[in-house]
Amino acid sequence: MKISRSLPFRNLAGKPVRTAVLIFLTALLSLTVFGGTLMITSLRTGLRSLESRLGADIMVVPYEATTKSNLENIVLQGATGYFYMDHARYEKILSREGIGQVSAQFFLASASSGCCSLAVQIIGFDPETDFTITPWIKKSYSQTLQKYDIVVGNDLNAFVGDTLSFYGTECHVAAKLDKTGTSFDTAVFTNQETIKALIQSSIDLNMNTFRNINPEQVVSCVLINAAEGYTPEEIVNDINIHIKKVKAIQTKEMISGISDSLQGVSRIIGILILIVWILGIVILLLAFTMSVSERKKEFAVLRVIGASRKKLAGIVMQESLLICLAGSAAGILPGLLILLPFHQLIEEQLNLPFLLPNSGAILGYVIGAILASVLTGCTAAAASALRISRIDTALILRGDN
Amino acid sequence: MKKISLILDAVLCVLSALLCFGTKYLFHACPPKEDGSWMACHWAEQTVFGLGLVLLILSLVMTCAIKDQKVKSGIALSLEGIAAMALVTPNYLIHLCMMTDMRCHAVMKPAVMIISIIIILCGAAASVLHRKEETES
Repeated sequence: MKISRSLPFRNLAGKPVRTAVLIFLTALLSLTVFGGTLMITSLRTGLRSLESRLGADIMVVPYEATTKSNLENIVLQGATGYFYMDHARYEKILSREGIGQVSAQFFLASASSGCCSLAVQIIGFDPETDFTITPWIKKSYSQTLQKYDIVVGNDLNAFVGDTLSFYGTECHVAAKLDKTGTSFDTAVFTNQETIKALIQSSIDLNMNTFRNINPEQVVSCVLINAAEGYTPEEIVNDINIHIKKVKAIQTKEMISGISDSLQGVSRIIGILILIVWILGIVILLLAFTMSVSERKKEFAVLRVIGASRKKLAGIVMQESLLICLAGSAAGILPGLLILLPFHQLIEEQLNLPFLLPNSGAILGYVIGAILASVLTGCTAAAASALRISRIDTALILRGDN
Repeated sequence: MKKISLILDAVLCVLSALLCFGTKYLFHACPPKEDGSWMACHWAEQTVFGLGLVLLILSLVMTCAIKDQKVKSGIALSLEGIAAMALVTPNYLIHLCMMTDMRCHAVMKPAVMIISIIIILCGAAASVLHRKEETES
């Protein structure tokens, strides 16, 4: 009884190469399904996070800004870059028909400071009219931002109470935002009073490429929500026709590029998962069939010494279960070790919004990947188990198989 | 048992070499600024390199020069402590750069973290195995 219980372990330990190959195959299966699912989910979560930050139907930027190759990233994701247009144009936009909510934003890229060689994007907003950034900031900071108060993105290595210096002006970190999976995570947000002071400091230090601007008389972009009864298309056409030197763009159009890239990456990963799974199932099926075929005599001897047909099938199934569990662990562990600590690197390489799901969801994917591998392995082994339970002992032992 | 502990010792040598030279050449911190000066993360890299070098020397001595199982067990235990120091060096003992999407945060910190954790685990296992070998002999 004791021997029959430990027989599957002994069988596996007795053939280390065969066991290792089977474990490797199941590890590959679980790594693909776990890693692929986590990648696709993180990309989708990132896009959803970006969509929820958009908040405006239309974005109006100075015409020169449209020549910037990374305009989408600057206005949608908080990548570094800045441009300005006269405040008079903002006034003209306000006077157009169909404008519902409207708010101006101000951009400034910090110079590389003492801490690091990369610039930080500073985004200024008008707390009285803003309808895109404030609802998001309110989740982390419910008070009103004072002059020189800043709110930092999640990926900035600064914490509440710290002081950051931009163009020689010291700013106080009032709050830290939740992670978004976009470049907003490395941006700094502040009210228009502070950003105007910072723009002035950058001009005074001769570090702003726009040297002849008055910070009080410029805005970087205008965000608009269409009023009831008007469509964003109508407003975009109206602004583009009637207001010179600006370009109105529907935000949905801007995000479509990112969405298309994401769809492409998701599709490739999905196809890869499918191919690996089909190959894996076929190889496992073959491996189990071959393994059982070459062990026919071994099973026949077990029948002779009293093992039931059910017992033989049970041994094959237990062996496959052990292999699948070990393989799942061996596959999921490197997946976790690569995807979780290196998610920043993956985000940077993909250049797409990438936000890992919460730990509960990740645990769900781990369990799902283990179940999927075990089910696949056991299904592949089931056919062999059925075959072995029907062997003709006498025929096999006579060697006429 | 002896075979397993020998494999573990060899793994510790390889991992220590990886931590030492990998931090310098593979998963190094951020490059210097345009003016040639270094950011804080460079000093974290240098410290991890130093700790990695100590780990490498100790693990080589443990594997090649020491025969006494008790001493081997003690060295394996010390490897754990040094690896724990390496684990907390980037960003905890020595601050890294401002943005967590920079190379020091995105590449060096997780790589050092993973290798250090594996060294701690292997060191613990090696220490226990060498103790067992000592009592068995």
